Amino acid sequence: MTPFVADVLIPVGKIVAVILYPMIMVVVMIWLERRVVALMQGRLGPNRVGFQGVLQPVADAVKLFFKEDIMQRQADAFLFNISPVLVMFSSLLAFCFVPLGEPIRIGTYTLTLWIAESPVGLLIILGLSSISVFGVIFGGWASNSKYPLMGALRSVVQVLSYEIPTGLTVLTVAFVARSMDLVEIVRRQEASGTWYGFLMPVSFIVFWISAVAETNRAPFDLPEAESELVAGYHTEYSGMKFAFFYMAEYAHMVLVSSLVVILFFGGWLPPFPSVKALAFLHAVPGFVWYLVKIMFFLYLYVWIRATLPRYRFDALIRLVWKWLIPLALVNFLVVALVRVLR
Amino acid sequence: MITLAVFIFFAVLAVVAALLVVVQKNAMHSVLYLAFTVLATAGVFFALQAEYLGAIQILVYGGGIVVLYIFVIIIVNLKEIVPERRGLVPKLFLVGVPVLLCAEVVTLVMRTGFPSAPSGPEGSGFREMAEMLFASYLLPFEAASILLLAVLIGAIVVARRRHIDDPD
Repeated sequence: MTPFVADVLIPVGKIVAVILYPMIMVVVMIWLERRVVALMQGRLGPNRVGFQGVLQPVADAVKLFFKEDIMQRQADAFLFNISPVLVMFSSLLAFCFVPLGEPIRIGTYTLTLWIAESPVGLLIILGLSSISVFGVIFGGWASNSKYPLMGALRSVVQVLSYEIPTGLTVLTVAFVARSMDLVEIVRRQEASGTWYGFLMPVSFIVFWISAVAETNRAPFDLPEAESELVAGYHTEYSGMKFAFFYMAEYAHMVLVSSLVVILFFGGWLPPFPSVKALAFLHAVPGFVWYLVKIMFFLYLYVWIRATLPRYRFDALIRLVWKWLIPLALVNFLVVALVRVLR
Repeated sequence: MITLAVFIFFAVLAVVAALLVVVQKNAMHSVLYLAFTVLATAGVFFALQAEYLGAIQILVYGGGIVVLYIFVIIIVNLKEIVPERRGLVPKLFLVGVPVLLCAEVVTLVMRTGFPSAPSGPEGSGFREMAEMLFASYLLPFEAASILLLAVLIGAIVVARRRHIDDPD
């Protein structure tokens, strides 16, 4: 392999892929969500554009491109325009640290399916997902209108509160794997032969609930509760700026599902990685296993949304401060104790 | 070479954003630039391969402190600052004090030699940091956190209005 291919073409290709991959997943998710929720509610859902309506999100995107871009006169133009960018930027940047599959060997060259492997990758992803709060709150404030501001305040309270149990459960994984490097965490699960989700079910459940809350999804979609707040922090946005908020929410869901899969369900590993009789499962490329797993969790998002009614705001905050955080703390202590005693 | 370019890029970005924080009239814009400063500083840490510091910078300062600032600004409802007319002496102070401080910092930095930190795959630094916090300086660290807790509770007690029946 020539140096040009190895040093220029492949990195550029990876950068393009890391932007395209979340975007494609977003399109798939929007279609899947509308169809699945419709089926669960005994409706048909979009089924006209393309086969079974798969091109509906594309049609929506085209429509949003051509829509008039409205900004009301009282808005703070600078912050209003930069907020969608901030939200999108933080969601996409985090994907650089997500390993999508095991390294592929082509001759002497090893193609890694991630852009950056960092010893603190986990912390960086958590940090970046907290950066997306900026976009929400600046957008809500800059709109200079009451519902966006209320939505933004709710969103920040919610995200900041739910970050605490997220951090505490992620720590238990880092503790057991002795690493905060996402690739290393998957390798440790391969070596130990157990997915951490089965080793630490409490961690997984707490993490998943907080993850649903952090992405502002039903039943925790208080920041954009349409019956109370119109559309929450992006009420005043239209056209592509609205689309940015919308896509960033879905990209964030894909990111969180990837994190769940990597931390608790073995990333690109096949099921039962250490059982000899199931060794044929290794024939399927790791990337496919990873995709299957994250599709399951994305489906779970949709499923939960179609099943559970929305929380009241005080109940939402009570849930995190009085149940999840104490539970996560006790869980952390137990894991730490077991880790030290063993 | 590329590392140096990245370092200079983020360093310049941090300084420019920090200047913009000070000169903005709108408090919310200041906070946005403060966020940029924090992120650019994290970029500087990454360029120097102090990845742990960079991640913590994003997580604590970006995700925590800056968001608190935003909250305070929204809650106290700051309007745009109207520049007031000042006399000559306050103006001299306004320019003189920062220049003096800057000169002091520059001379200090020039005089002090910085020992180079060990780098490598373990160079992200959280092991060293953990050993410092939880072995060498455990007592001062814990004392500082108890002090912070006391201050926090004290602030709540002082600020809290009397005779509130809190149903929760």
